[in-house]
Amino acid sequence: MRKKIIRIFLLVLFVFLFFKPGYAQDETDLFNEGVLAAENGQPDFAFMHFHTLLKYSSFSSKYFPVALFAAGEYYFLIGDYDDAQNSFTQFSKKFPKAKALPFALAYLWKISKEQNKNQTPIDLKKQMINYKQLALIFSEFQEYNYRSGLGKRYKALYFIDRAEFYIDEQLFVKIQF
Amino acid sequence: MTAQNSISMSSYSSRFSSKSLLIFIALTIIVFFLIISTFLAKIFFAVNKGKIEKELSGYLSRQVSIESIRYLPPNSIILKNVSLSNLTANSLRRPFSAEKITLLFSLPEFISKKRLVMKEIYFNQPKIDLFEYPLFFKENIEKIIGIINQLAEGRPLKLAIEDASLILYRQGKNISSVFTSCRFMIGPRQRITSTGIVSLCSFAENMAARNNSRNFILSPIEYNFGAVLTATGMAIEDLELKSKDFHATFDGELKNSVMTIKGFSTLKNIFHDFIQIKKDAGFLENIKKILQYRRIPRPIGISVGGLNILDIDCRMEFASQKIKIDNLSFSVNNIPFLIRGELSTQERISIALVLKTFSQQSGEERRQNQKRLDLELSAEVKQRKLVGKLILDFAGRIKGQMSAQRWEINFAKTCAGFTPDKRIKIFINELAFISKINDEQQQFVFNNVNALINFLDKQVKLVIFDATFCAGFLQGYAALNISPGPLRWEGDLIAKDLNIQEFATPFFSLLHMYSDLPFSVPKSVFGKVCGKIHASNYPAPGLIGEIEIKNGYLDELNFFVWLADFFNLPELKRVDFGHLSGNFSINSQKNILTQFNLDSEMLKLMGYFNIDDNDLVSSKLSLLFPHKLLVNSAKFQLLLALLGERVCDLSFDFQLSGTYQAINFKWLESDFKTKLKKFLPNFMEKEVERKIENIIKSIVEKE
Repeated sequence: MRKKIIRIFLLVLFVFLFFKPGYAQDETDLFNEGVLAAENGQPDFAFMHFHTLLKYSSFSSKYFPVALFAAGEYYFLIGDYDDAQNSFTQFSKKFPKAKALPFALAYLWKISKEQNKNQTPIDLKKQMINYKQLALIFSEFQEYNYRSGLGKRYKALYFIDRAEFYIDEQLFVKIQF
Repeated sequence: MTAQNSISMSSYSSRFSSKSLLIFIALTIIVFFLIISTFLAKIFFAVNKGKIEKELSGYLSRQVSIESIRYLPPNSIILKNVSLSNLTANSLRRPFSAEKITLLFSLPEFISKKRLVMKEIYFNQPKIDLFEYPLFFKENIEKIIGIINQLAEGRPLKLAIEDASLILYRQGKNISSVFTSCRFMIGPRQRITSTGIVSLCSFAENMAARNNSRNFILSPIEYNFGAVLTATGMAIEDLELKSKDFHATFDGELKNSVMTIKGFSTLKNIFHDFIQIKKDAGFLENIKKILQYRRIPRPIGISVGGLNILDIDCRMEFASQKIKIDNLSFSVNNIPFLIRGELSTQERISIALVLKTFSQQSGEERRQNQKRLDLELSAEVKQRKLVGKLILDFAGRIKGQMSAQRWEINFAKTCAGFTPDKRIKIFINELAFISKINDEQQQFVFNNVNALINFLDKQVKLVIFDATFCAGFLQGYAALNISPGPLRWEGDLIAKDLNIQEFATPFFSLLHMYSDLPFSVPKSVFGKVCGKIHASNYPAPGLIGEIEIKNGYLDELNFFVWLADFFNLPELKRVDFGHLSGNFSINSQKNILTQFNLDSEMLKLMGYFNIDDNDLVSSKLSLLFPHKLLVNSAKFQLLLALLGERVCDLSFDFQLSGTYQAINFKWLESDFKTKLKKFLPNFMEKEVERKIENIIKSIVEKE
């Protein structure tokens, strides 16, 4: 009997050691858990999962940019503008071709306006304008969409003389040029 | 009693009569002697005038001419209308002439030793023509001094020169000349003193040199000079120069052709006139006026509204055909200056001059010093015209960085003079201006440059000019306001028929060297440009103007090349136009091209184009294709047929925005666009938009 118990224990240990899912599965799990928490209306828990993901994964991970953007969203939501600015700045520098880039820039614009009411962050404005060169032949605008890790729906409308950024159909930032 | 009275009276009257008789006889003898001597002197001089002229001509190697020589009792010899001319006497103008030369000789020396020893010599209205004979002094001064020395025989001599004129420049009947009246006293104990007045004037030749006919170009300068002759030269004890707003004091020595002097100078009221409160001259003031040669120590009066030139230290060397400035250093407003150079008359008159500020600094410290200046001037006179080069090296902040800058001006066949209203007039046959910043440089060549410079106004220095440039004509003005406050300048430039490629390429390259202009003139624009530009730096630096190009063409302009290929209209690759114009404004906030208008038989383009200081573009353009162009395009004909449109003039309105490096483009609404949109399926619309986006990107990259 004793031998039988030892064998079962070693078998379970063996299964545990060799069939342990590994870190890649953790990333996906963390991400999915974060998304699920966001869908359930629990942004704090969603942020915890994304924050953990950011801590243990690298820039090359496919979840990293989404998690980074989501972290920035969360910081903005709770009014921590400094951390939000750091997150979105890092995002815009590390992922200049990301779909969420114009929205990260919109957040940075908003934070900058909140903090420095009299100054126009012109470099930021130029980055937002230069996101895509427009050729409006038959359209009035070009539209870009993005769904974030926290479940928010982002929309950017680029007209010839202005750009409008919406979050869940609410106007968030408007810049004239 | 009566008899005694009558006897005394008769003896008195006889004594009186004999005394009177003696006096009368003596006077008669003196008068007779004077008459005889005058008569004899007149005959003597009449007979020997030719001989005297010949002797002097031989000695001076010039033709000496004296109208008359006469003796004026008791001890004056007057030479009337004395002149020197070349032996060949080709020119009507004489290098030297004097209305009258009066020699006063010592009568006791003449009577006792029968020798004519001069004690005073007066030159009345002597004239030296340095314009016709620039080397007159060099060739004759030693001989003239030799004659004077011989006449004085080493005794004290007083020399007076009244209304002397040195003609510097002649143009037509207008003459610019240095005028001077001065007295020299060559006294005992080897002492020389001199006082006088020097001025720069202009006058008309037929008015001669009368005072009231002269225009003073510069205020007359009074001078006092005192020196002691030494074995090797002279010790200059005092040299004082002063005028209404200028005062300078020097002392030094002249030793073996080397002169060293030290002193200081002040220039008052150079920005504006101070109101002087006049008061009656007191006792001390009157005493000062009486004393011609003052030794009373005076405090240095620092000029408040002017310039103080302090610590003047000069060492100059005089050779037979050269004046060399070994070292001339001084300080103005705490900026140390150093000048070195030479003036040579060896084969031709030439000048080489170097001026430096902060010469004692070296290396990086000097390179970064914004007040440092290196000026180099080299010029020579060839056939009475000046040819030379002026180089200015200085440091300045450009585009936020300290940069080494150089301006080089090469000028050929230059002559200058003064106008009756005291302006400097300059003509330059060829002027090349090169501007260099670090390793970039641009050159502009101007021909037949005429310039008038008004430098006498206390607040505004003004230059008016015109020149031939880039096969066209330029004229304008530049004004510098030096009154207290920020330095202000402004100018206007009017251009007529300049070749645009010759002008615009170096002009915009020069602008790009100094500022971050985001655009340039395309290399595909040809024609003759006319325009007007106004530039100023106050309240902020900026240019505004209007430009018009007539009878030119656009050759292979990228946008039209694409249009030509897309619509199969090869005519658009070279667009001839009658008129291309625009108004522009460039300053630190905005670069604006307003009312842009291209008028050609092949198309019309109009609108505006603005770029702000953040490189953000805002523009609206309207492009019109005329009917006769559209009928040549099969594509257009097909398109219009499909839309049911009759072929007529077609207009396209565009709006541009975004940054200059990535311009956004929008086709504005029109009937044609509305019909085309209805005709095309959605997927084709996207495809067309994508293609045009790529084309715009490639056009902007090429431009």
